[in-house]
Amino acid sequence: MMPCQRGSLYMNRASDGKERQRRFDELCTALRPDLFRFAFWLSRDRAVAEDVVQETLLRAWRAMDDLRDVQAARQWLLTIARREHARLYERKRLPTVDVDDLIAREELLLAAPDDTELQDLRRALLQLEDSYREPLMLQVLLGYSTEEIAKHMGLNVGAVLTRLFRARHQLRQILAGDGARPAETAQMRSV
Amino acid sequence: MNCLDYRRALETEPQRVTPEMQAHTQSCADCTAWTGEMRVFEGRLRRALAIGVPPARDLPLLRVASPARRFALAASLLGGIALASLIWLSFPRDTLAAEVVAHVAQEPQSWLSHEALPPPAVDEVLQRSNSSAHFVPGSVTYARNCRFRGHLVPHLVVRDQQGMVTVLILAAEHVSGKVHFNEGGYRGVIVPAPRGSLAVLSRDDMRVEEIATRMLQALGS
Repeated sequence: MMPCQRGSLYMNRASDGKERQRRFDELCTALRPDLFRFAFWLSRDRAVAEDVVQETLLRAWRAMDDLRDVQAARQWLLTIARREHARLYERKRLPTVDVDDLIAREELLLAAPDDTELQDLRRALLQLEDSYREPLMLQVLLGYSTEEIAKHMGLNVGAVLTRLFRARHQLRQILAGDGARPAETAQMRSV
Repeated sequence: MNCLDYRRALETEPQRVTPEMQAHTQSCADCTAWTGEMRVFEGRLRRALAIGVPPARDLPLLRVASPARRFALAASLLGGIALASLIWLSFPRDTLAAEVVAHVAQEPQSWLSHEALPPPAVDEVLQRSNSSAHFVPGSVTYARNCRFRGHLVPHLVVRDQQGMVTVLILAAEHVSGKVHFNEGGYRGVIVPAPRGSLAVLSRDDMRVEEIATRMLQALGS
């Protein structure tokens, strides 16, 4: 009977829409923390990170049908976030920021009230060069393999290994207080 | 593997421990101790990177439809417009044509007469409305003056062997061109006339256009 068939078709469409939104909500709940942390360490700015996350999720919602493998969702979202971050800086061309100002501005986010060493480490991370901080974050925080980092950043594996080694080396130097502040340059805001 | 290679490898990829590296730690107390420190540092590094996450902002997902959904919305909108247009076209509108149809429908008795009216009776109706026409004798079976939009208009039924049509001579109604209509079971046309316009409509006679032309000639003669 036609009316029933039509009715059930519309019902399916409506329930498909709800199902799509439910899946997306689950995805957001599960992956938003990683996404925000990634965006923050990339931009070193909470407001920018929130904008990047927001834009990433909106783009992901539009393109959700392209996501075939849910297991790959995190890498997919992080790739979108990286692109959004780059696009944002292309558009805004933000000025160089002094690291001390950055630390002061993000004090709340960096704070670890019962652990001053942890707070120092976060401040040191802010001073790392962008090109070192990103692979380090992907490896330590997000558990990416070297090959995955290489793919994500468009580098070869050798270059990633070099950056990872230098990242830790530079971090130790900063923590020891004998390192220059490499991130305190115009390169800071480069993507 | 020496100490430098071991430490470099572990600092680069802390999670990756090869058999060679394992063998080295078993034979090197310094590197074993260093590895412990390294693991503690990695744990702290992970904690340092895992900053607190502020509450999520609302995502305006309903305003951001997927391409497929946007297409569906656009298609629905166009479909809706098409349907509304169809409905609008299918029903009599509050136009001159609609009023003509409504008026004719209110005088169904006009279709019943088969007897031709004498020409003087037709002329009398026309004259009362300040109209004049020369119809083929014996072709008019109904003629009366009707009130239409505040004016008296001749309402005629013209019949021949092929069928019959209703003619309204609308001296006070002006149209810029031919208006075809198909409403309420009537098919018709309103054409500009020397004075005002002429409406010709029928329920079953498909020759309204042709008859309208003949009527115009009759009115003009």
